[in-house]
Amino acid sequence: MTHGDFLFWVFAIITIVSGACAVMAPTLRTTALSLWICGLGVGSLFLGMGAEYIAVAQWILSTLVSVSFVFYSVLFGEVKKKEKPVKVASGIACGLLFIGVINFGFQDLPIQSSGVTPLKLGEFGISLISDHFLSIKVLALTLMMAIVGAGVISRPEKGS
Amino acid sequence: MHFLANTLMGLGLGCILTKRSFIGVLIGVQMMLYGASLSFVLSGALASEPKKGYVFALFLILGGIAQLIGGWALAIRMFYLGGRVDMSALKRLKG
Repeated sequence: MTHGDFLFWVFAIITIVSGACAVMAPTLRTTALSLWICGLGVGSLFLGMGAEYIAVAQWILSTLVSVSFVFYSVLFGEVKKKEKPVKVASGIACGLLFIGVINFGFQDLPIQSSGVTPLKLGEFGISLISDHFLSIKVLALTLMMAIVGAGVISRPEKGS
Repeated sequence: MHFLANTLMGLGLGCILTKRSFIGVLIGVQMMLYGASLSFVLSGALASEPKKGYVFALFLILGGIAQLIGGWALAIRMFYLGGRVDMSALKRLKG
């Protein structure tokens, strides 16, 4: 077992444990933070399988989604006192540790030891534009309709 | 390795069933989407067709954002009408 394989299974365990924490967490804020760790773990698993582009997209989107969930949980009434500096410092240390593990741990991807050639990023981009252009258009239209629809649904009543 | 994706899907379903808040339900749906995208990438990698798995996972991740936008808008609407976002309050959305 290479250290890439070892890290893959470590991230798999982190993902499952954080998912279980999200289910059992007593507050929405803790649930959203557990979902964030779960999303980061899933992104790391994508990286282990050679899907770099999907991994980066997953990391960015899971971070934005979890921040939004924390925002909405506070907006809808779950107020938390100001964070202690020790917690902030430990959070920064965990982030730096994550970056270090990703940078130095996945030098050899587990997918390479299984014999499958990982897809090159440029090849994936060309495939998206040439083979799935219509799907991208439909997805973009769906996202735009969702944003416009959300604005219509969430507007305040007249006179309120 | 598919048990990873299946476990995430199951945990998401558990989150949907156990959380009383609408935001908690949305978090559960998001976790199920993580499991589904992981399943697509795993299937592509194991079938030596990684490109297909990546494309499906990418569309699933971005489609999940559309679902979240709709969910958040509904939550705001619920909050306007009832002052809370409990699932028990999800009976009428028109003012």
